[in-house]
Amino acid sequence: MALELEDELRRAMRADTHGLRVGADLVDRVRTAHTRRTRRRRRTAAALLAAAVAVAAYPAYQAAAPEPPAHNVVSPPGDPGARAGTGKGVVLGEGGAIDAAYLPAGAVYEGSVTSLSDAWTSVEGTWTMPGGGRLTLSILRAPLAGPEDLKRLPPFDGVSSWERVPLPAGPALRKPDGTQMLWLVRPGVALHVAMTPASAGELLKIARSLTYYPTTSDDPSEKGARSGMGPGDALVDDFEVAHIPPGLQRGPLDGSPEAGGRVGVKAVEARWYSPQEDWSERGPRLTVYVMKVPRSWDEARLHAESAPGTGRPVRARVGGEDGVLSGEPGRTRILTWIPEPGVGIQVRARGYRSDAELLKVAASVRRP
Amino acid sequence: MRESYERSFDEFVAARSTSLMRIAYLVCGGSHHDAEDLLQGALEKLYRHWDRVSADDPEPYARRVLVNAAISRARRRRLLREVNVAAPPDTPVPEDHSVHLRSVLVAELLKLPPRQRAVLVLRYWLDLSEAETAAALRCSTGSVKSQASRGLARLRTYLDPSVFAEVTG
Repeated sequence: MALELEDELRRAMRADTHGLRVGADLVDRVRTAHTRRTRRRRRTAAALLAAAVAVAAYPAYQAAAPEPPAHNVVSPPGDPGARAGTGKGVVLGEGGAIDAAYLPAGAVYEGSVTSLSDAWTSVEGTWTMPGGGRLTLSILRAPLAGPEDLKRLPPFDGVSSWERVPLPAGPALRKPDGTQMLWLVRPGVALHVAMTPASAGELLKIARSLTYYPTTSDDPSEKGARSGMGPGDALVDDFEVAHIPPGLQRGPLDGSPEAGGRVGVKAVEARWYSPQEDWSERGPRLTVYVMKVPRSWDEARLHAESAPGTGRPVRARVGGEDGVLSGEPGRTRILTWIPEPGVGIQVRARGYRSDAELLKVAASVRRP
Repeated sequence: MRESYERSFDEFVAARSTSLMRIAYLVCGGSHHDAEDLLQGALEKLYRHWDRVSADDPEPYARRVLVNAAISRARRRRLLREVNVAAPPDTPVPEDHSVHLRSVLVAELLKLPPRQRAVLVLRYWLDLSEAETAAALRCSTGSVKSQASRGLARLRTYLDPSVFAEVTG
């Protein structure tokens, strides 16, 4: 009887939905809604930023009080000043990568968010401070010719007063309360640091420690001219990919909640592709996912969750770890493994006749 | 490049939107208006990530967005309806026509809790495997099995066994 019920249910659903049709203007409605949403997000971002500044100003009196002793922080031996210099963070975006040589002790990386609008794009990495504040490091891309254009960026156009602060990369704009700094690293690309509650000294120290690496795809003159390797290209979340197949260049990076498409866990996704090919074409392409997964997962579970229906999986070895290899030979091949508890890596290679490049790339993935 | 991006999205919508609309209608509880709304939201999200998802098969991604949006929406609206399986309705299914049986089946399907309903739609309308259903709903295959089993059991509860056997022959 169970089978009959299922069959009858199928027929019932088919009959009930038979007459359903979508409106002819569906595509237009989707595009219009998309445009409206991006504009709304831009306005919301500006409002949130203004609110964050207001909140940061409230505990300003606390900044004058002696700093409480840090708890749960172990100072390394030697120079006491080195205690705070134990943190390190990387933020990646389509505009390049930021490497922070200094982060306050106890800062915990929360993740990154990619935001797109008609006028600008940003990738924002967030850290939580031991005292409950937040630090964000962002790469912004917009039509910027010089430092003065920074003031016209949508998140900052309501801020009336900025002070100039010299940085190795050039002059930066800083809010007088020390909560934000903003500077141009190359035409069209700016870095932004914000911290709440703010400590002006910390903010400046963080800003001075940042190194910006442009991706090759950021510079049109470099397109197709090399294998695509640069400091920013090689980093995915906290990992670097030391080997990239020749002829590929860095594509978009996605740290949004939807990164990975069908991957049901938090992921950062980076792609490399052939500059001669459109995204949708069938040329060579490499995708690397760094995923935060439950610590109890093994490679088989990660493969089942992140690459279901990709052909019969076989076992593989990656840098001494067990992995799972799947996909169609000659088309997209997928290698999944757990380099350490709670972290999953997946490499997808398309357009290669053998698995040699895929295995070379996988073997080269490591923490810098 | 932008042109091919737009064109391929248009082609996908033209080819698959009716199928997705039917899924939306079933998983959202049978409201044509809600289904259209859900579908538009899912396609908007798909459009936002089209460069990434279009390279492979974009439909599973669209389906997943659609189904999970329907479940989230139902939760937000507190539409989780717990049906008391111990007390089937007093009125039995009309005895004489399979059309009635189907309409009752759909009506009862639409009353199921959203996740259970989504499992039944994905498994028996789209014929997805347990693993594919689990991937779409971001849950384990064990959860899919138990939800499907409970959903079918609830539907069965609403059917007079003798009538059901007679109609299905």
